[in-house]
Amino acid sequence: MLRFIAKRLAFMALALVCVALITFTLMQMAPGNFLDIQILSSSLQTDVVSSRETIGRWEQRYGLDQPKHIQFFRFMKGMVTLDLGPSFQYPSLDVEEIIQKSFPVSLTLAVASVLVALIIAIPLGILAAVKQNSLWDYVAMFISMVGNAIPAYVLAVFLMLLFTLKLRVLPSGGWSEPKHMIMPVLALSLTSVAGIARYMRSSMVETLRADYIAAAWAKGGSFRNVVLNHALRNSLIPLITVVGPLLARLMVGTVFIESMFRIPGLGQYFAQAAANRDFPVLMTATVFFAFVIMTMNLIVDLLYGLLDPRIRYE
Amino acid sequence: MRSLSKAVALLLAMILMAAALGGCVPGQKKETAPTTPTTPTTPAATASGPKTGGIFRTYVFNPTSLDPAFWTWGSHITRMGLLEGLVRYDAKLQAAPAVAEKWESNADKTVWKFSLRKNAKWSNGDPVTAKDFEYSLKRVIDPATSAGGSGSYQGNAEIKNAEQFRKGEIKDINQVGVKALDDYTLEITLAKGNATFPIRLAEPWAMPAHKATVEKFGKDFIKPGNYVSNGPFMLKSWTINTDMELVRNPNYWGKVYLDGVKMMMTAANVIAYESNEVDMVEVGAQDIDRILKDPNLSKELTQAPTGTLTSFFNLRSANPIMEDIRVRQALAMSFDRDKIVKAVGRGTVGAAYSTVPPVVATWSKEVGLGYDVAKAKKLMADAGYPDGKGFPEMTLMVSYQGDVDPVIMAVVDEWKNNLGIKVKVDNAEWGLHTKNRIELLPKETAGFFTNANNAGFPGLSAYFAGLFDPNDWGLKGAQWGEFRKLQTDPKIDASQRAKLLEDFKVANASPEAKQYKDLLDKAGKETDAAKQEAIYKEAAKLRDSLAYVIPISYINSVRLIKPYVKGYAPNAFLLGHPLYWNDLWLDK
Repeated sequence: MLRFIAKRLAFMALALVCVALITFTLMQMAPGNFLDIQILSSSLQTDVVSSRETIGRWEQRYGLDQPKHIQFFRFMKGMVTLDLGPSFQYPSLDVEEIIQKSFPVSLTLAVASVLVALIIAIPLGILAAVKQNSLWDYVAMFISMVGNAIPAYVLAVFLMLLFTLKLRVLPSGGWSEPKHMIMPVLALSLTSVAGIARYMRSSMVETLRADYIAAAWAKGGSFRNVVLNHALRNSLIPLITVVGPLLARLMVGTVFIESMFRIPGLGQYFAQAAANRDFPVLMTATVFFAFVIMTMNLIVDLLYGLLDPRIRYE
Repeated sequence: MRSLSKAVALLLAMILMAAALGGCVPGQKKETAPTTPTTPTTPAATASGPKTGGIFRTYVFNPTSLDPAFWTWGSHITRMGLLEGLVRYDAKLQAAPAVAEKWESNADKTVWKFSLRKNAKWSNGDPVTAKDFEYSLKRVIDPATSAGGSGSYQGNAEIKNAEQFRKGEIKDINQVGVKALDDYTLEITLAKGNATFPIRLAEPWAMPAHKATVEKFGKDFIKPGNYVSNGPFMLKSWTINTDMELVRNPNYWGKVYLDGVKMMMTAANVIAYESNEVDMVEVGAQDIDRILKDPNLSKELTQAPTGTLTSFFNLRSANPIMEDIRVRQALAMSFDRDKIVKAVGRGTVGAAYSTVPPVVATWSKEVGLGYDVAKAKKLMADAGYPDGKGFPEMTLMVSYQGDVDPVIMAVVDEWKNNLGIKVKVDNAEWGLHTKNRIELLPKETAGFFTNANNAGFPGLSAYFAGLFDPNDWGLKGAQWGEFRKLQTDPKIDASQRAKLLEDFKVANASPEAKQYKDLLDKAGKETDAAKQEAIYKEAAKLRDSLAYVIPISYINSVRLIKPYVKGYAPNAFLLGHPLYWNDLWLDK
């Protein structure tokens, strides 16, 4: 097991360097740069003497006057020492500060959403599997599919109309009280239910067909014992393959929800950095997201090995 | 049994879908024009006078810094309530005393002496002195301060030796014309005489920074807990992309009615206004119809013109077609601004007849080219394109998230109908757009790009200093290519580059551009306000007749304001915030 982890970590390190290299190259190729967007576009003067003259200083401060490979090495060094310098757009904030402050927010949102999704999806999946091909099955699967078809930010608008405008029970945004979590979590979780529920259903269906379940029924086991004790436990394991990537996706991909509900998460910073060509934040966030996703995959694989005794890693 | 349950499931599914869609179908669109929202007259104070207390809640654009040396959305916040300059704007946008009680100048208006009040204090109790302002102004002028972003100093303030210091020609910052004669007297020397200089000190770049705080915390001095301010409010909390809260500054010398100001960020949300979470919000075109139909909301809507102009700017191309003034004038004269603004703008924009908005000049319409389709058609025919025959497809570079602004599309439509020309609208992402539009474009791409511009301060001269200048926009394609080379050549030293660019423009200026420059120089020297205005009027007429920049519309500030918010006066500044938050009080 330990050899497996070690090999995996080494591979991750290599992959992260590749991600950094590809991102860096793409960013150099992308049209537009921060100063053009901020300065030249706002003044529209052709000489813009005062600003042009500070560009040299600005490039010096951020090390952009160095040759490209030096810039890349500096960045990789910063990733290791966790000292990445200031953002372009927020000159008083260091990049590691931004991630430190905003990632826990995105993480909280993602974890809460996945938990709520599980609470809804697992019973739904069990119901559909136990009453397979019945009305319950079709309705359960239909509801979860509707949730999946609607993008989270569309659902968020409906939730806001309902809870903020019509019922006046929830604020339209912010992130200082627990009630600020309700609508964003609902929007994200309801749209994630389908994947989990369907997976749960098919996993459960397959488990229920197994010989040992038939034996449990034959031995006179109650519904509770056979389904919720024996079958459920074994059906949950494959669910990890869905939940892991889902958690990773929700941690990095909630820009619209964050923007709509004014949540100070990493997604908003990332989107702003992309639009403004804020290279330090963009590079760091991209590599960080890759790291998060790879770590989640590793955790999923390890959990799988722990939970399912049939699986052994070399 | 199974087929029945299947049928029921299907029926249930259809009912659910119908219910979902039924809620989505938009109501019948009425064809009647909306009634123009009325601007409420500022109500007289109630018998008891302004009340103290309450927190004013509003939306702002996401500020990225609160350092007065940086030009960001945060600059408006510092100006409106966190910091206070020597001078402030009064209700008519004229200079009024703030930290400075009075000021005087010498005969040729080059040396100004400001006498500061003795009772102004920072939020930590320190007195506000002339030395604070000397430090802050020099700090803003020094390009090293803002080497992390766009600096806020306005070169056209023309403080003596500031530009030379910024270009590196002068090395000693003490030669810049800002000096504290004693603790309460500040002397500012200008490079050119300017009768209206004091009002420049009400702008965000002239706000003071607390020296000890900056030196102690460095770039972290703007964070809540560290920030020391001299305005009516202090910084209580700030979560980027979420909200910011200000509280009353107990050490402020003047009047403050509000206990605090709470600002929300990112996308402004009319729903937040309707659910009573904010007291004021900006309204976009997509919400106007719905609000006008609502009996309560429509009473709370206000509308005021601003000085933010949307215009077409000439693209520089290897194709010389746009270099023919007749073509440009024809384009400028062949769309009906009034009609478009009324039909499409729904009150969010006003017609811009010239590049000088009505909020700064009563003669705004007079100096424009006007709307004359017959004349436009003749001009096109004279240029060799009768009814647009032979005219290549024109490129219009824009950058809008989602759909292109319908006002722009309406103009394109009028060009097609009136002149017979085809326009390709190139809607690109902002970063890509800003890159494309400054390059020398190939033969197939000739035309215009659109941009919205707001002058730094809502005064007449601001619409001439560096904005819409034919010396910039009149450079022909081949010349522009050379100019770009000068701008981007890394081998040229920064201090040399500025002079080279300036010399190039002078050498390549057309006679009209030279004339324009001369008029501006003359206006800058003129101390009589009426005479100065007459010169600017002449310059505007010349500039608009060249049609390198074609004005389209100016933005109206359309806002919903709760009736208990008092003291708000719409102003020509950027998008409708109150001039200062300590003007406001809440009647509840």
